[in-house]
Amino acid sequence: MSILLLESKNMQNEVYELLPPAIFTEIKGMVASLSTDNAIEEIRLRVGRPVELVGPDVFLPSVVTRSDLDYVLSGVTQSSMYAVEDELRNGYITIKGGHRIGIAGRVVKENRGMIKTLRDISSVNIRVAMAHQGGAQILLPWMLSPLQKVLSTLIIGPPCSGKTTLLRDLARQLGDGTFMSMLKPQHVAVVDERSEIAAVYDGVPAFAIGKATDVLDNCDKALGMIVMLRAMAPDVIITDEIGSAGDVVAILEMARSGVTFIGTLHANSIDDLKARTTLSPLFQDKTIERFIFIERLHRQTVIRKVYDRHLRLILPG
Amino acid sequence: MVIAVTSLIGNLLSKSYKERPKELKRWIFYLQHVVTQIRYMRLPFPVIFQQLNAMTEANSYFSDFFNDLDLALNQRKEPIHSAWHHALTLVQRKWHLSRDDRELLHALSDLLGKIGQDEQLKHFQAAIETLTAHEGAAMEDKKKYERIFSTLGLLVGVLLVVLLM
Repeated sequence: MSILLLESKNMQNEVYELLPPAIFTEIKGMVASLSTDNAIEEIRLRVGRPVELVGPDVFLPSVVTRSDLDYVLSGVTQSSMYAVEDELRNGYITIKGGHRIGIAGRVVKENRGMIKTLRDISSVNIRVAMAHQGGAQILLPWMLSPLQKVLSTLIIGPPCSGKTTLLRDLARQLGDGTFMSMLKPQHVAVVDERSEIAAVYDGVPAFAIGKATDVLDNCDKALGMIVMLRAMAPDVIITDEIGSAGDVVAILEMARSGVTFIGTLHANSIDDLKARTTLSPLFQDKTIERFIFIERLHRQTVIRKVYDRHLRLILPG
Repeated sequence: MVIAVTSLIGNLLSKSYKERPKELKRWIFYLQHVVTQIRYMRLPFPVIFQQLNAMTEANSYFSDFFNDLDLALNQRKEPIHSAWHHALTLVQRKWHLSRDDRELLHALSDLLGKIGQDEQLKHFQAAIETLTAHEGAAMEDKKKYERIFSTLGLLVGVLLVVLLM
């Protein structure tokens, strides 16, 4: 059962091709001996330390060597560090299949103090992408107006609470017209700055993101939203992890143009949100109609609280 | 018979002077293509070498070189450093390059894929500049020696025949 879990459930070819053969064999052996049904969510490799499997939550006995990490990095960068330089500045690279490879090492800075690149890479975290189709249904009761219009919404939660997964499924359901029966397929524009939502590879999204969904990949969010507004005339614009003043200006522009905005944000509470001065124009303008706080409980994403445009609590936690 | 053998040797030497500048020009052209793809498209090496494999004319050693590199990177998933050396070793019997040219092409692999865009471009530009200088010198050698060796082969043959008579 466990090996099947490894090979068919979520351990796709593009992930195990990255691993040195010895480590892959060891992972297979380890998973076969486990009694847990938890799928592998992350494979963490650190030089001089054992491989960690997050999900089953176990460590393998053997130790990761420098050449093991070089092998993984050669696959991740396609032997072309320059081709992933921009992603490397963010600390991770998205590969075919939408899997995210987090990287840590020694930072090399530019003259202005910005990160130029990483060298002496010591840790790699392979986060296995999982599409959770149908997950966005939990948002349905909160995201539609009485006239069945999709409301501008911010999905808020801590890291790893499932925000991007929800966003991806929302794009799919809105683009396919399956969010609810009375809602026709919406023209959805996804601005995917870090290739996390659609995980476009060679121009093709790795995830199902809807038949009426267009993706602008690897573009700054604020700029991308304006570009998509002009270029694709969308009904809904979706983007991940907003926060800068430029993002806020672009969201206000969306609202003035009658386009629904759906985005995500890292925060724990409404007070965290209010404390962010860059976001205050959104509250003053009442642009965002729903603030949905989520969290991860027992490996499932659940809604914790919902606020309306006046920041009134409409679903107490 | 003697004249035929010495003429053949003369022609072979002459041919290496004739072909070297042409081959260097092709190497420079292909490396410039790599530079363009890195600078403007940031394409990874496996894609660039796949393109070059499709671009090179069949029956040239460049075709064998890029074909081997393409297979090594895209199918056998070998590290680029060893794939580059292997492909060069595979074709170096067929080429007319000098030892300096060969060393430069092998040394190119040292930093392949390990550095950022600016550094990678500088790395290729430096190699192109050196190969361009080699090409200039090779053109000079061609002018000086191509005809000399071809004629010399024949003359040495005639001389040997005269001495033997």
